[in-house]
Amino acid sequence: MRGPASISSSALKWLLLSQLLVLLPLTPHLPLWLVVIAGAMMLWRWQLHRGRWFYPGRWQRALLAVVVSGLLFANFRGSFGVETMLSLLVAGFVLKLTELRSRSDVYLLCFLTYFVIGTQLLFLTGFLGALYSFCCLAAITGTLVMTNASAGGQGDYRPWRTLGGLMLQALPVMLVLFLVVPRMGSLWTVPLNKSAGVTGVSDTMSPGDFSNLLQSDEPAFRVTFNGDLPTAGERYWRALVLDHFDGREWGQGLFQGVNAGRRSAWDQWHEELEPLGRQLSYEIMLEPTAKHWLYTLAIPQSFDDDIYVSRGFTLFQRKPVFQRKQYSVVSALEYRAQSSGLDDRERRSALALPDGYNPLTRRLAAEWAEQEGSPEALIQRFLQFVQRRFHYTLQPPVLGEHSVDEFLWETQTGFCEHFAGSFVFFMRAAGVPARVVVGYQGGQVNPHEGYLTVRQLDAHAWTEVWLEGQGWRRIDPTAAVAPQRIDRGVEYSLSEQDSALLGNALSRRFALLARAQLQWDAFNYRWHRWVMEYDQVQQQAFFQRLLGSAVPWKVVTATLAALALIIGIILLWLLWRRRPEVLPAEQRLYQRFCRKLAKAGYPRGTGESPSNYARRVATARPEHASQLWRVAILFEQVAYAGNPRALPEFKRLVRRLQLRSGR
Amino acid sequence: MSEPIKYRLESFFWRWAQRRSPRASAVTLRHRSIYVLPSKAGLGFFLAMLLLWLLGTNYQNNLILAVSFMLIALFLVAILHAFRNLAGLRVEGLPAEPGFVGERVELAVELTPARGCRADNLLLALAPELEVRADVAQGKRQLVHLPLRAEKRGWLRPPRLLIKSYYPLGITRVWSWVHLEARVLVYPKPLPASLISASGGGELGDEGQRLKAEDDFIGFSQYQPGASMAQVAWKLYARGAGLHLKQYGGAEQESLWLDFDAVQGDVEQRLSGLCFLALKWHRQGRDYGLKLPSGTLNPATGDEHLHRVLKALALYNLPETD
Repeated sequence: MRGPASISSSALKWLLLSQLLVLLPLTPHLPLWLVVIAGAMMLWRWQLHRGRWFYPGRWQRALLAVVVSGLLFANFRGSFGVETMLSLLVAGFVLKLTELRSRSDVYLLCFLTYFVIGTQLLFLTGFLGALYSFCCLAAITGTLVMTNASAGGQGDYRPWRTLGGLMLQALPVMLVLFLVVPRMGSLWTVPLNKSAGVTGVSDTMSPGDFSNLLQSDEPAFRVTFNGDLPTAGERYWRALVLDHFDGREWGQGLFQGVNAGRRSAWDQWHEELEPLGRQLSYEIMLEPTAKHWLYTLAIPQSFDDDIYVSRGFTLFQRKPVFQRKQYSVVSALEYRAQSSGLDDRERRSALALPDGYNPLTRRLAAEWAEQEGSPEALIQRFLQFVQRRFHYTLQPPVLGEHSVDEFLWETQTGFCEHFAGSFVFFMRAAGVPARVVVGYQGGQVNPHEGYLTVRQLDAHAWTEVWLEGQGWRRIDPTAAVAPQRIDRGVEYSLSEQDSALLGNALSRRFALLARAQLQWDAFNYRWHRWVMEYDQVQQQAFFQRLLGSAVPWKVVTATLAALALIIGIILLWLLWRRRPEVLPAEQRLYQRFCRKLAKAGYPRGTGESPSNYARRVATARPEHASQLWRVAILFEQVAYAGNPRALPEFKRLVRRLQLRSGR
Repeated sequence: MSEPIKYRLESFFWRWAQRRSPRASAVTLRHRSIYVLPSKAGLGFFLAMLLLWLLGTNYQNNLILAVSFMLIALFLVAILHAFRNLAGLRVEGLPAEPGFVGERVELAVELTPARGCRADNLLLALAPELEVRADVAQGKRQLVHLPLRAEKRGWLRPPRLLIKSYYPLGITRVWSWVHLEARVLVYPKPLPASLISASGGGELGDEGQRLKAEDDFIGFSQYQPGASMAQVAWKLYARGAGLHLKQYGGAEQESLWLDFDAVQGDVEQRLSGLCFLALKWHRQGRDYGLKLPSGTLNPATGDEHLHRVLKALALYNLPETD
């Protein structure tokens, strides 16, 4: 016989199943060996339960603990982040499984698993992920229900009903709490060790980088404009300025780096910027990138407080973007940036070229500059040259040591990074300050919600040159060779063979799929906007709308009222089935009759039949004898003989009967 | 200093609890007498909730916060379910079988759930270490035998009955104290003893020899209800001859007396000794009577007689005699 503290078979089944569910989506974030050990332990625990395998001795368990701890240590070597924490938790589960004996162990494991769901949600932020986590939560709660289910009730539907009832009734309470509980800022920073699978624009650029990004259809960010949308040609989302070239790779020089936190911030940017004409106000919802930089249209005018500006007029924040981030920006599409002149250091870095690379380009650039005279004319000549001779393709030939020479004068086929990199090299060689800008270009308007989705495959690189009196100006050499790239998107600018390599190849082929994808994206957008981004500000706005004002006492009263209402409904639902039976009319009347007599001092004895009762009271109160007898007879006729015609008279009699108290 | 205060607080608490659930032969649990608090596991649950809230706050992740709110919500709902599980449960004490001092007697309790409800995973206990688990199905009654240690002869009044449950999630402990109007008769503990001759001269001979003499079988008589099972002639019954009783003893078969003055020791020892002898003679199917300073029971045989004798022994010199 099982003691009260032992674990039932179904509870164990639920426990193992819910752990499996919780662990599955976390496997990419765990070391492989831990996943293998966890799987093996679950299998073994199940076999143990079936009586196939054996319970490990104390030494075996100790050995396992030592091995797991050692591997953990070797794996993380003191670095502490979310993934370290996650691995520790999972290791905890695995070790606990080996000594799972009593109910309290099950509780411990369940609570641990609840916590692991929380860490799961650091990675699963979409709607489907949340749904999955909710299922996991239900499974763990189910384990608790199973552990406490009645002994005979295993295997039948009742625990399922209990679980369903609990979850459904808890949901509205959770919603109320979600809406009203105040949000606080983050308390400390534990970085995610590495965000596996996050792709995006990186802070270096070498040939071939962008073609990798183009294979991903994932959204990079979504933009909602307060007003008109910019035209396709204006949708240049700047992220980083790359001004340092080492012969192979473009990167951030000392001047433009944004990874140094607040030290990278530039305080005098306002003085160097002169906005002209139209300004656009918009909100960006950025997917997690694990990087510092943010994306804006050129050039940001005003933005949130926790955002800084770099030397290149790009935005960044101090902490990497580990969670989806929403920020609002106002940009001036026309501007003069640093038109009064560059300081010496900046000018030097915008002209610097590594020695010993691309001698041919250097020579020709100097020649062309001499022939043309002005930088504007030089740019025109270069762009015309590109337009006439070059090809835009995702699969360019591999380049050797002098990559710019080979690209410009031999292969003449490439992708945006080739064009941008070579152009800047050429310009610098001709003595014109120039730099590479990376980010995204384009974006797809969602017809359902009107926002713009920018995807990874919109990643792009272009350039800026500094012209006397004008400051930095955007030049996109790719636009010269493939104007459709800018106007319609990358998928319309490539050959059929190339565009098959793009991340959205499938949805372009099937219109229905594309439409479904748009709708799904719109739904996800709403989910992120209203659920994930529900914060202090939105909370205040919600209170304003609902209560007229966000005064604390009003909020607290409303919350308590809402909770009381929900709990009242649940209680009513729970206790509804035990309401007293509704008695037929004659029974109610007879009860009324008995109450009248009881008031007069003649309560009905337990088990006393109506006729006996009537006889007893009649002997005590002979003046009412005939009425009492009549009531008893009529009641018996209606209730037992099934004679409804006697009911009206019975009713009349009972109503009329008046017995003064006392004898 | 703190001891008396603690003691007084405790006794105050129990008086308060008792007022809320007075002693009765049948008790229906209502909200007045049902208490709910987090269980030990519930504290762990709270900890998990708190950690999740910290995690969600720190990463400003609304979904993690939602999970922690969900746990709070589950806890609230679990309290309601736990309350529902116990509310309306009717507990009735049934007449209990007597037992002997030093044994465990069992108090029979009948549980009836509220209309249209069931009660899951109940734990009932009269003493902390003697827990009994029970589930009551919808519309059914459930008989539960609650063990209780009998330490003194006489009427044993059960202490307050603790009915608790960790249903539905194990994180809540819902409980109620029931003071049942029930009593169990506890006989003295049978301890081997022998009779001293009432006339004062030595022991009553060699009892073993006398018994042998009395064991002489003399014939069968018609079965009478209440006769000792040991006297039934089972072989005859097996042959289909009906129930008969074996008659022993012969001519010198005489009534034996359980005489309080004929056993040695203090009052309790004497009662224990008489109890032992009564059981022994009953097994042997002999006539015996009881002489106590407080009264006399005439010699007879049978289970009912035995019960009368043992009851008289159990209640001897106690204030409550019925």
